[in-house]
Amino acid sequence: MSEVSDWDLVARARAGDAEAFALLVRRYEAPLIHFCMRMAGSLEDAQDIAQDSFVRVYRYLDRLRPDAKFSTVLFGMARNLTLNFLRDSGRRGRGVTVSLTRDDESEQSIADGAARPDESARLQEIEGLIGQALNLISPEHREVLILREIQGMDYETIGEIIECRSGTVKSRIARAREQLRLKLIELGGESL
Amino acid sequence: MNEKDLQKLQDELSAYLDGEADDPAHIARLIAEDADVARVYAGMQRLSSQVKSLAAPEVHPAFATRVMAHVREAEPVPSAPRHVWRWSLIAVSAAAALFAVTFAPSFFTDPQLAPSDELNGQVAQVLEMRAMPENALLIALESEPMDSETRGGWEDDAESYMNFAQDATLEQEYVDLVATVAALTHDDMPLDDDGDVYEAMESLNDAERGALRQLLSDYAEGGSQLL
Repeated sequence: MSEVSDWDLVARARAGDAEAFALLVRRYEAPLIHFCMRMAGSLEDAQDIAQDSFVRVYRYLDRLRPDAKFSTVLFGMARNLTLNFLRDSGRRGRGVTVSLTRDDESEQSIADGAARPDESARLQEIEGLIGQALNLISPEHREVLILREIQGMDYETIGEIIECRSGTVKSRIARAREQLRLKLIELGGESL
Repeated sequence: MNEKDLQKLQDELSAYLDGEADDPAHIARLIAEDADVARVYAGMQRLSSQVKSLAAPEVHPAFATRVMAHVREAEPVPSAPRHVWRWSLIAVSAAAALFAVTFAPSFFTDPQLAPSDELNGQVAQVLEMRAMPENALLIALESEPMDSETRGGWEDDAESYMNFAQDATLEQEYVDLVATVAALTHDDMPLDDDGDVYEAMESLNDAERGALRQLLSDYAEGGSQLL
């Protein structure tokens, strides 16, 4: 049996079926919180923003038009709220706390201080560095990279979310990758 | 290779990696034939897979329940009439025409846009639907969230204002205002949805864009009092 479409659930929610909207929340909570967390830098803030996004979309249910994907509307709302959050709090990401020491032979950069990092710790370190570097690039670049790499969206969908053309998305993603690479080098992760 | 060519190559390699290159066969050849290009591409691939592998946070089991508790308390925004966008546009057009005549008489001179009593009534209805934070639009106009590199054209400007709109209502307010100016300056332009508005914005000349900026700025400073 095929899954009920997002817009069918929206239609049911409009008609007063709260459970239909709850299904939408459960369908999108994980990717939305992940997006918000990578943008805002902390899980707590991400959950607040994601919650606010769902509530606002619910408030505007009657005005949504099914000429875009529901997920595009939802991520667009979350994206605006996240940028507002970053502007209001005057920060450009926060909350990632990992060791940033260089990983050459003489230094240990793993939090548990193991003599020689095993593969798992090494992966953890890489993830920490990537997360930290992501937080250091501009939100406008971070958002396109997250939408592309983590959410797996194509350029057209990303363009709809951030309200710009695919050509702009294309160049912005390339700039984002370059920024991220440079930040990783600054953080001592050039050998990753 | 100069800076511009290098940037273009990076754009194309990045798009190729994402399966979005305009000419994938050409990029594939470049990678196969040029060791430096191949090295840059390999670095992009590695970085991409590392970002992709970032762990997703665990969602609290009660998250959906918590959201639904807030949803039940939320007051839905009333359903808009089928052609709200159009009558909203007409209403705001009338209002904009009013103060455009005051603030920029040399620019907006179409006597047909003088508001009728009926349009004034529609303006009042629009205002009832709106709750614009004081000076929010001015703040948005003054914000420059994008660096100059990515703020290429008017569309990017508009995008940045949209980013910092306080909420969906204000976003719609902004789109309406832009549509108003587009309608005032290009009366033959179809404006059926917000996408058309963006296209309309792209067609504005420098003088029109300047006038739009002024219009938005004046509007933000005056807020709804002007209406």
